[in-house]
Amino acid sequence: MKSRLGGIPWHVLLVVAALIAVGIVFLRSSTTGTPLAGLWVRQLKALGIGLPVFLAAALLPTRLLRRFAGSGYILALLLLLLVLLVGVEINYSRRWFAMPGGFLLQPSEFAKVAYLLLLARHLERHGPPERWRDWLVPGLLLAGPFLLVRAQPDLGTALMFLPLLAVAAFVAGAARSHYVLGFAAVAVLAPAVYFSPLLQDYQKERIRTFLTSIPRQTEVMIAARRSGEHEKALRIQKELELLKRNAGFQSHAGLVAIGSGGLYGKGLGRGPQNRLNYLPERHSDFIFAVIAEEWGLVGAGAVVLLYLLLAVMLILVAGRCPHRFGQLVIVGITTSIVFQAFCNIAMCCGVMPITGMPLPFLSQGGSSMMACLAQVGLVVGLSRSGRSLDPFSHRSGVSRDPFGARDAVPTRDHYRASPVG
Amino acid sequence: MALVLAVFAAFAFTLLGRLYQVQVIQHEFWENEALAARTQPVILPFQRGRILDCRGVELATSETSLDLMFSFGEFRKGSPLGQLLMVHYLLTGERLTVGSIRDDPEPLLRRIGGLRTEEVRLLEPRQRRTDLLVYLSWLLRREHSEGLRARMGELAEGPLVSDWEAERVAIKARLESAAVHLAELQRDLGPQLGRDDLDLIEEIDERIAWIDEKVLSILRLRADRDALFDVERDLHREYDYRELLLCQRVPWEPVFELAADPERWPGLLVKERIRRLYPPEQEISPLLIGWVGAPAEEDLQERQRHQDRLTELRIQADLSEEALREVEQLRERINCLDYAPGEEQGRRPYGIEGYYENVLRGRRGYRKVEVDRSRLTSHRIIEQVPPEQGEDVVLTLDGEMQRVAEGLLRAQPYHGAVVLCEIPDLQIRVLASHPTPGRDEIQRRFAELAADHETYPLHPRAYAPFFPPPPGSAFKPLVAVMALSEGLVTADSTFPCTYQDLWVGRSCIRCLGMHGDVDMRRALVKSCNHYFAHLAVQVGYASLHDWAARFGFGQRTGFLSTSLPDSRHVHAPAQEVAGRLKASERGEANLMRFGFGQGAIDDVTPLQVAAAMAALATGVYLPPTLIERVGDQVPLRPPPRVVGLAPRAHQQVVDALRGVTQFGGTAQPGVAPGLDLHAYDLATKTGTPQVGGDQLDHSWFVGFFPATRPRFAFAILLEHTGVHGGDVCAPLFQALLQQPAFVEVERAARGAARRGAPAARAPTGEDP
Repeated sequence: MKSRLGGIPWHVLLVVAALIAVGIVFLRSSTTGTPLAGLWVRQLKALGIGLPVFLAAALLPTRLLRRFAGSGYILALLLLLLVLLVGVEINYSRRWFAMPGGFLLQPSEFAKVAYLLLLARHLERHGPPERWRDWLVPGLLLAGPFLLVRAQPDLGTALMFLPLLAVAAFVAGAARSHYVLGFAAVAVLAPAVYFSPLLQDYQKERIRTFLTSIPRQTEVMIAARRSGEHEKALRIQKELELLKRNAGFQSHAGLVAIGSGGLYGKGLGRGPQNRLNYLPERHSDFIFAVIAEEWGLVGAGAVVLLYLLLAVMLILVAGRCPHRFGQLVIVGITTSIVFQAFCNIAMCCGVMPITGMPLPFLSQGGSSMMACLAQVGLVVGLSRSGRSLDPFSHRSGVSRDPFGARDAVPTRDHYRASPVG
Repeated sequence: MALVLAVFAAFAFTLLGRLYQVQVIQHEFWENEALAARTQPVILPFQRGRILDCRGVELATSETSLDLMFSFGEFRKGSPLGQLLMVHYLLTGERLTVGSIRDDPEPLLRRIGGLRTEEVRLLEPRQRRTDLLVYLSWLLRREHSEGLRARMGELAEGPLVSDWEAERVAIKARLESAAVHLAELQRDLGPQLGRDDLDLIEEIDERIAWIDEKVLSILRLRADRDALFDVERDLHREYDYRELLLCQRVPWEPVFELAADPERWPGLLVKERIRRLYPPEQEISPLLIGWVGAPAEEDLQERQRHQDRLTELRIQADLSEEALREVEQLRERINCLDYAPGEEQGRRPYGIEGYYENVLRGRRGYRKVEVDRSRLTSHRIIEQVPPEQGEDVVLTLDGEMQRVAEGLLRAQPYHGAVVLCEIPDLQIRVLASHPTPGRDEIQRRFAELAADHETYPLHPRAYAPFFPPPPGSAFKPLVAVMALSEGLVTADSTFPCTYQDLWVGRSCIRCLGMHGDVDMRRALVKSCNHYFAHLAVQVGYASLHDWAARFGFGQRTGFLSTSLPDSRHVHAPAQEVAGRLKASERGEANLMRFGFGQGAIDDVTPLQVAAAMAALATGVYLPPTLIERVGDQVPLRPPPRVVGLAPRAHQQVVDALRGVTQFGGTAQPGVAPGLDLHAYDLATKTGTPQVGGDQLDHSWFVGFFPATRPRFAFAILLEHTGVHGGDVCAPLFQALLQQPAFVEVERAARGAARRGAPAARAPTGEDP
């Protein structure tokens, strides 16, 4: 061990810090003059609580992570079960534990990490799914938290478990044919699910809103205007007027804020849609719309690129990680953070239906912040583990080339041969 | 891993592309949407132009007052009373009164507490279910109804509202505080308005009932029963947000709090209104001044049409120059010009308010302010166009004289009219008619008045009688002057009047006396029919007709119309009557009757007669006018038409007319009790036209004065008196002259011309 600080991926931390800074700036901007003013201070406090969590996660030895992945997973399931019983109900959804000090703790955020750890251990031990039945165990592991989160109800977060499995298994080397077939199946099954009783009325309505209304219809209308089909445009405009007031309100408000931002934005704290309270949930789920309104395409694009940069860096870190477990966890964490961020942004831009999911590092929300910091902490810990705790990593046969990872498929034997249990 | 990275990159660049599309390509569209969402127009009302009389006294003006308005749309959304009302309405389709909810909310609350998801799920159509959940969520103080909707889907069965007991207590507290707020307002307001029995909630219920009635009456007309709920919902959306008047002219103190903190009284708002005011002490005939009312439905629809057209244009992407101009014009029309609900409009076709609507009406201004989502606080003025006040219309009428004349007429047992014009510019000083309905009579029972086919109270006798009278003997001086001017007879030529009845074929021409051989002077003073019958035969039909037209008969005077120097015209032909001047009439008897103002010329208005008298006095015909000034412009008058009187003939006729009020004339002193006009320098003529059937004769008293330098022309008509003009009309004229308001007129009648007043254009050129 050359240094205590050796192997820390500073660049990742820098990007994360930048995102958090942007988040706090816009939390302040979006709540000034509202009853929520001062929320940014709370967010700073959450950051303060999050830092020890981050450090703890960073200092956790990989060994322990492996060993207690199963217990952690079971603990997470218990918490999810418990939250259904004793959680506080907000907007008819039980997702949170009330913590002392007025904080709300959302166990589903931590269940994601727990699931990821167990999944990574499973994939490391048993290899990637190459036959269809290999999916059984990861699938069953997924089902537990998925159903419990779904029961809160919180479909958005529940759905975020799916890409974890997909990406981790893919990186681990699952059969590509499965993915091709899987996507095909989704394409076929999606309409079937829509008409099945699996979705709630209001969820269907959201999807319908998304498919038939504001963003899509607006595009159709603008196209109709350009091509001179005035009657059609007029008809759609009238429909839009109705939708705007009803189901499509949030979606419309978000698009208006983003679209009116233009190239350079209205300036920090000067976005009318933000300032005049036209944008609902702007401190949490729709904070990206505030950024887009006040900083324009330049700022919003920068945020998107920051997330992409984070993804690139994390994957590079994963590539450098000497053991499969670390690689998989880091890739999973990348997915969990960046994919969620992109989904949130897509939702704000009207390319995805609205689901209540926060923008990692930016949205208000202590649990989200803490969970994200914990995940980054894990990344730091895992990226150092190779150097400090795994002196045999250079013999592990894993290529340092991130793009060559697929060539070095670890085997059960490899794992058994490894001195680190 | 490269593939995973590629997926992330693809996702990121898709988002960037989308952002570019929304923020750059569609930027303008969204910017407009944002602007439309956050700006709210505030209308700045204009002040309607005043109507003034010739002395500058306001006959119609405006007052600014505060009104307490009610908007059901805001009430049902914001007030717990309204929310409860709507919940019940959506559940059962039945409308409770706000009063009953305030008095006893318990059963309703129990009902809501007992609501079960499966029960709500059965509500059809879907929109009704959604609405119900929305109102329930408002009632429960939730920002969105999503939670309730989630619950509807979540639980198979069970109570819709969890934790009802706590909610019930909270709702009850809110209901009570809403009721208390209303009661407080009512307590402060009632005594100040002089209405101790004022019950705001009752008033609110009345307004809601009015809306329901309105919606229902439209619904009944709709044939499609399928989408009934949706149609009803749309109608309510339209009507519920109309601001309905609760209390007029509220004092400022009680509503100060309301204006400062409107959220405590959802649905109530204080509006500053500018309203037409007719000073009661200056009250003259509303048929002449006109009145204002709500804008006509078609004018309101006009605005809607403009709105639709504007939306249509806005949809188009690339507008031509022309279309852009049209957009500008449409916006100006909608914002500033078109009638909006709640505005005042002069009622056509009555009076100045109706005719001069476009002049009196100003231009609304507007202000666009930035508001937040609550729509209550404005943050910034984005655009402001100040209102333009309407132009004043100054009448030639003398309000005081008019009012006195109307009063005296009202005191008569007959219907009739008094017209007084000032020579030489023919400015109408008095234009009084009887009967004339009062202002509140018109407001309250207009339909009845319009349907009154016995007295026709909406047809002012002075210029628009329903049955225009024949001029009768009042026409004789004109016949005399034309015959003399054409040189057909001399003043000394005589015609016989030996019998009362002159038979021409099978028609009988009757004279009221047996005057023997009469010359022109005697014929005029005594008003001999036979003289003028014979004279008419001498003159011939064509000449008579021609001369009658030169004196303005058979044409509208257009006294209400104006042409302004800025080439604006107000044409107001609708209410004035032109009268009838027949172009040909067969038979000698009819020609003879023409000679004394019956038959071919059987429809005239008192105004026409007065104008003809002025023409006789001055030798030029000028249509009279009622309009002195519009704004700061003096209307253009048509050029005076020279009638073509021979100076000598004119002199002879005037001399004869002076004899009418002297001893021996038809209006000699003593004809009626107390009548004595002989001291005045008047050139007058009485008239007693027959009106056909077995109806009593009308009475005329017409003329001009002073006879030497004419300053006033007048005509007085009383209908169906059955007596001579000298018996009733001349005393009325005398009574007018004795009024203080007529002191100047009286002085003129004495022959003492006002110093510095322009001399009448005597065609003779000689100054007696």
